[in-house]
Amino acid sequence: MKFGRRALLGSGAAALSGLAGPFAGLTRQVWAAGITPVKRLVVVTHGHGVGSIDTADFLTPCLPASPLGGRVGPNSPTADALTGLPKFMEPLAAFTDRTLIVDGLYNLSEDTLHGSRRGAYTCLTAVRASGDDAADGEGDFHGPSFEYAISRQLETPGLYLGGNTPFNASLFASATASGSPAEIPLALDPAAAFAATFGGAEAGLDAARLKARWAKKKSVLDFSLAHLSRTRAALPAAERPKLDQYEAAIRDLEKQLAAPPSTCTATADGVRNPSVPAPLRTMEALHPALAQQLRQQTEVLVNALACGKTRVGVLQISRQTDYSIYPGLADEAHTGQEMKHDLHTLYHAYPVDDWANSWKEFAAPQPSYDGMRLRHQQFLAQQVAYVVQRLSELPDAAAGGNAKLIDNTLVLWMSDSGGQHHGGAASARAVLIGGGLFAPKRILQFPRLYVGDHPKQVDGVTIYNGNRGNNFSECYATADLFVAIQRAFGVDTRSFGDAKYCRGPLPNLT
Amino acid sequence: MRFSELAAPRLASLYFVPHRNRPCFRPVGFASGALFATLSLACTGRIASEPRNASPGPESHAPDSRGGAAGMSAASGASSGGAPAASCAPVLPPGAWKLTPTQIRNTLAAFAPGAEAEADKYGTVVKGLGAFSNAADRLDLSLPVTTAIVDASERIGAAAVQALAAAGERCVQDGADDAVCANKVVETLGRRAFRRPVTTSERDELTAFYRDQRASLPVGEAWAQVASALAMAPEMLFRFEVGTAGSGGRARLTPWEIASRLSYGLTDGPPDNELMASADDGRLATREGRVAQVRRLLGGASTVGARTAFLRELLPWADVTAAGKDRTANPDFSAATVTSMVAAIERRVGDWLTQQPPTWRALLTSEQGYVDAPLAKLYGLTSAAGDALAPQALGRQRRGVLTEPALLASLASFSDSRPVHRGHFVAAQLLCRDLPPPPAGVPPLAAVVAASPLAKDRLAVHTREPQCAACHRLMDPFGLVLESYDTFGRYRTQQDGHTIDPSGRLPLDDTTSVQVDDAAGLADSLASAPAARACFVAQQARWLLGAAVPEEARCWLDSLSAEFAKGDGDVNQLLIRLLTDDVTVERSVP
Repeated sequence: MKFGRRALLGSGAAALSGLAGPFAGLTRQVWAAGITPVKRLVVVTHGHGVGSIDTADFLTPCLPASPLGGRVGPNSPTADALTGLPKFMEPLAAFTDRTLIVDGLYNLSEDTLHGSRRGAYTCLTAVRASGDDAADGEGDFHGPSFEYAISRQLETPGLYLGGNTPFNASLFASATASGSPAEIPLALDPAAAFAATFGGAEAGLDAARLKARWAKKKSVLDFSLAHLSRTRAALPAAERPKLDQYEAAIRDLEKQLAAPPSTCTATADGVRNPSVPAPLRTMEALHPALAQQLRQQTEVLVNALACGKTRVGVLQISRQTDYSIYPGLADEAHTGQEMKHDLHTLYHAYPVDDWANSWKEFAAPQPSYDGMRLRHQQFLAQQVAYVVQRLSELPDAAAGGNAKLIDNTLVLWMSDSGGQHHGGAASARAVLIGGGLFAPKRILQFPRLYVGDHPKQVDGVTIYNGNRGNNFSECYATADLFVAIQRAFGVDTRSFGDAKYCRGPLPNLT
Repeated sequence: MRFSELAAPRLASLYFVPHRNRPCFRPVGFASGALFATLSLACTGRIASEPRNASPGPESHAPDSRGGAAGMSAASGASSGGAPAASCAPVLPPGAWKLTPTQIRNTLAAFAPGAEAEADKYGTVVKGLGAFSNAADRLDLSLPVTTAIVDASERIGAAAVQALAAAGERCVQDGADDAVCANKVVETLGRRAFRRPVTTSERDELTAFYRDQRASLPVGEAWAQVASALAMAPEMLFRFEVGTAGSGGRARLTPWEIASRLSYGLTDGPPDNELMASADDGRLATREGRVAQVRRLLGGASTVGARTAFLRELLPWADVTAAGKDRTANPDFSAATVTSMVAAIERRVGDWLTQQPPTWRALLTSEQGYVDAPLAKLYGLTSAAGDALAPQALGRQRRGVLTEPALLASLASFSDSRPVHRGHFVAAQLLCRDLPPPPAGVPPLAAVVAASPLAKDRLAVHTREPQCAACHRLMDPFGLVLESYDTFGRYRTQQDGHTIDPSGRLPLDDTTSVQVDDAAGLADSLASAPAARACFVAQQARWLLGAAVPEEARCWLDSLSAEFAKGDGDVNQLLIRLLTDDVTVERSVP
């Protein structure tokens, strides 16, 4: 299913109010589902898999038993109490009671499993990957991403922040969009970034002058929108969609300006270290510059949520294939030496992209590389932990009382790939943390999608290959999770992405 | 994703190989996956009429295009023909292209001098697999980008008005805001922003907006509001080719659409004054007029940047800047080496572009390159080299642009020369071979670890196994010829004590193969091969059109290829035809 922009607007406008009355329309769907309404969404995403390290806790993805004790039933998910977090999630230990792990989703929109370009990454960001499918048959996802659909439904502009991604360009002029492993220079402090994003030249203005300034800006937007509509109408029908995204974005900005100007400012209490067990703080050293930048961006994000500037935020640590070199990610045998390999190479499981040598290396375990991957995953978990920590500290003014932001915010941590390599699509995991959503403190394991006609022996080696013949009806897709989350926010939908692979809301979340 | 991967989408798919000691397969990437090649039925190996993954162009037409009556009037002059034959009269579809960041920067330089840096706010290029970055569907106007554009438009608007004031335009100063002035300023700003005269309705719309703003703002601020709106107008962000409806289901581009087509195609910038004047007075309506303008532009230096950008994407030498390399195998390799590599190839290409004429043969066979100290080490030159790049005859080992270290290193991996990848690059990018990815479900071949480390021995499995050979016979030979260059682009004759044999038989098209001794032979073969020249024509056309040439216009491409196959392949003449043929000024009407 592809969302039409107008269909979304149409369905959303009647049910929901804007920022002035933020949550009035949310209850219809969510009460029906028996869960607490969610007010805010934070997506933390990156390339490569979440905890997809063979030697770590989610071992043996092809086997029906889970090292955590979960049982994978033939046609239904099995939920087990989450008594302890897997290794890669140790930085999140303090939030176990708020955590739900969903495991075993598949992630594809066409009949192959090369998910690096078609999978969650287009679903997890508002960047639309357009135009590729017809030409190369890879079937990229088209249409708004799921969190974008939610922001539209909530009539709130999303806030997109990034580390090694294009999104960092808007706040931190240090984009490494091409995947360069270059170090990321730090440019701004959080308060300045917040002011530049939400205040800009308006920072420090009194209410009257702020109102006048917004009126000026709005008049330009009003004119531009009308002009854009006329231009769009004059185009051939096939060309008009090229302006749709732009028109929708301008409308979003117009709504933002239509709301009463807010003088809420960032708390600007400085960059803080995440509250994680001291030994794990060494994770910061893996990539100090990136960690510091992400903390700054987190400050912008959580303050934007606290001030009601937005209700949907994305912190994109990296995107798809990450070529970053983590300076401190040397393996144990080479501690202190330069980390030679970028993450992409590391997640290929062998050090050299060499077909002959890689075969040899596959023949022998590579514990040092597994160790590096584990530490990288812990680094990612630590960034998530910091987001959750800050949400736990800031008050939820809209809820009043002693409520904190985390009480009404869903944090979704998810890779844009299923497997550890960017191409995996059959073993996606999601970590949901926060309040007011679903039943936490569980691990929910779904039957994994087997590809091909199941294990067969070739030259004495067991292989799992092929891409058809697997039983989709026994498995669930990432799209099903997205549908469930959308519905929790009141988006009236039963399918997301390619309806061929979407069964509807992911079950057993409540 | 690196462009080197983008350029090889058909082989960049995922493969699964069994992992001993582990119960599951795991995905591996291109290079190792290439071992497990394709079923023969999947690979026709045909020469594609278009490069792989070319994005389809737009297909419809609006009855009411910008430019209006003026465009019709100016475009009504008789056409003087142009090349394709009378029996070949295809029509291209209309379209809309978001300007690339470079194009936006150059456009802002004309609209709001001093605000060029704001171009960074207009978004980055979203590349697709195998597509050029200026493709019609490379769009990103999501909320973050739009927010940045709106924010930037305020500063751009102010800069545009300041530029008018600095030029002595009294109409943007207090006390001079009558109706005549309003029309004059709108027409000036609108023409710069839209790269065409504003229509009457647009002029009225903008002057009304000015008057509305003027009610509460000083003259300068009110005009800045107007300029701000222009800076975020779709006509600023996009280049439209819609035309005005004519007869026979065809529309004709307005003179200003033609002018933008020529200027953005050749200079990545808006039409200069001379080009706009030739649009205003109708000269662009004739092929002679268009040819004169293209010749004028090609005679200057303004086209070098845009034409280099095309070659940089066709031959992805800049990928080396993001490529990790095993420095233990070459301690001399450093960031300075990479910088020199890229600078050297760009100097070589820049020199070539300013030749009169630059030819396909010269691009591929010139032995004149650039050397500085880091490159002298890489080349193994004993003669002293300075800190600055200097021209030097490099001999047979460095014949043509394909032997430039930057390109060879870009196509290699951390420590492997990646012969399959290099071969695929030649077959797909330079010969437009249709090489599909290996179909899923093909079981991996048994592990073959050849006794020899040489690629020729390792890749022999591809010729032994029929399901591999179908495709790999079309690409491996090219990569094996380039085995004389290691992952850093260094020339070598041996690998781990084994002598490299760079000779091979190259399949240039479905019926032609040639035996060559080395990479110089490869360069000579590609320089002469009709298939390579036809592929370059198709790639150049796709770049200039921002979309694939539709199949119905194949006859036009064929005629261009036939002409380009003559002599040494005059690239300037090719550009003239691609930009001025009558085919290029007509569009279909849905």
